[in-house]
Amino acid sequence: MPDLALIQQQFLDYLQGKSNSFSDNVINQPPVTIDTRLGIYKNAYKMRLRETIDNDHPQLGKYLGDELYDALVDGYVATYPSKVRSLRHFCHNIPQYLATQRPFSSHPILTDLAKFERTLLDAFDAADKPVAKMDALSNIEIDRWPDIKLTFHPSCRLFTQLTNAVESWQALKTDTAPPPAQDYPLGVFWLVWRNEQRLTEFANIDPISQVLWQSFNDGNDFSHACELLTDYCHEEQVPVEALKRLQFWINNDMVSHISTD
Amino acid sequence: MTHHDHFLGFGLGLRTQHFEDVLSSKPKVDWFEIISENFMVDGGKPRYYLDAIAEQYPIVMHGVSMSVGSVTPLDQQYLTNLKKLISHVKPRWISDHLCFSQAGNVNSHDLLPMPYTEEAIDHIAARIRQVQDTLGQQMLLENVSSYLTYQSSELSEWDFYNEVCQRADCYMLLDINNIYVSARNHQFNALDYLNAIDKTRVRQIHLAGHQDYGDYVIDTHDHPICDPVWSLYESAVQRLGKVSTMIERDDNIPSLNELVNELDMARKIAAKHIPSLALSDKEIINA
Repeated sequence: MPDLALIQQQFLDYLQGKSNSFSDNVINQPPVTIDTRLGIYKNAYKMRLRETIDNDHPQLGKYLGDELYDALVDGYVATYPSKVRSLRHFCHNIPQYLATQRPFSSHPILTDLAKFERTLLDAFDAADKPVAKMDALSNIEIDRWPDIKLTFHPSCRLFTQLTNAVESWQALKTDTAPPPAQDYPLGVFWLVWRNEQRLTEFANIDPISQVLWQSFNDGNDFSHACELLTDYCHEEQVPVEALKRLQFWINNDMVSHISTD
Repeated sequence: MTHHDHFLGFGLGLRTQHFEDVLSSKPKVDWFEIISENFMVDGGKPRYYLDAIAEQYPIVMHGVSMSVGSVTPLDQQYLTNLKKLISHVKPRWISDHLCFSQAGNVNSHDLLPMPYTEEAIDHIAARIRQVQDTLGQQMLLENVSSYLTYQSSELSEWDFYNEVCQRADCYMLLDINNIYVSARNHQFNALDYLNAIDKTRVRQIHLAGHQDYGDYVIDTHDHPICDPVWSLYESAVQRLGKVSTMIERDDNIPSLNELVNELDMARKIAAKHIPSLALSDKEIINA
């Protein structure tokens, strides 16, 4: 008699299409054949994983079209069988799969599209935290401004695209044709976050914002961040440019805490 | 203490589509069951709505991924996360399934049936005791639908279920639709199953719909409950008495109002056999 471990492994091997030896463990109960009985489980396995990809990557699916999307689903499920407890994380490797597997790897916009959709999902259920208001900034004494540090809301993250993936995502979201794929070798930056109404938002930001955001996110203070900006604008403009961006972040619920420690 | 002391009344599975409606319409539902894994996230909308709804309704937690029958070691991180969610939600009880989902490091994300053997009973009972020790509470174990019978099975499903729950000292979440589905698929009498169940351990009942393919039936939770399942539920009420009952709907999800109306059918059936349930809703909850 096969032991429990062997039966379970054979069942999973069958679901993944690796082996049919599992059928030897099953009793024939006419009129339903063993193949039909096992097929119910195999179909459910495939459907469940496909539905997860459908739900996580709706615009990527539209961009690919039916044939390529089927190839993605089949290829991904075979290459990355689920090793996670929750289906929430099953598609985690889709960007990696698209970046490395032909024919997808010839189209870098696909990886960017998948990464963007995963970034939106990560922002959706990131940890809750109160957001700071403008008076927290305006109450800081002027001589303490160089020491200002920001803690961004846990949902707030930087997304860097090397193609016009977000513009394509926006078009697909409204069921219009995406623009032709285009490369952005220097990168184009977006901030993605969840606002106080728990809606996920994203905004295109310029290189100054990106440098400033990254510096604060790395734990640096205002004076350090301003030093970095001298590479991008005149020295006398730096405080104004920096302040504009701080206000934008705070007014849009991206900042959780402002300190001068 | 008997299982009647834990009677919550008639509940529904809490689904994303109904979050807003539950808060705004405050439906005639006595309690909600949540899928634990859907709320094992750091924050955002799911947790916000759960907290708001839990302020107004009793909650029970139903897991789908403990894989208590697997031979791979119990996932301690999962149990830690579950314990954290229990501590936050303070559910009336928690449940999962009598099945396995994982082998090696691969997860099927399905509720795969166990062979009904002594080896499997020993294995699962020990695992459930381990889970209960970790969580500091007894859990409910649900019977799953199945589409195959193992050559190695030595017992009927109901004897297996009784034995596991007795040795693990856990409660039962009896899914009436799953009994019906498995009875059709394996050609046994659903009443034999129902009548054999250790009724002192049944703390909750699930009702759901399925798809009927003639020679076999698939448990899909995407249809209203059909007449034979209602009939089986009536037999369950007659045998088990007052047990917290809820409807699961996971696909093709209708309006909240439609599910509340379907739940009224369960109330009516139960009230036919349990006079105290013919009281007002408030009295039902406090009964």
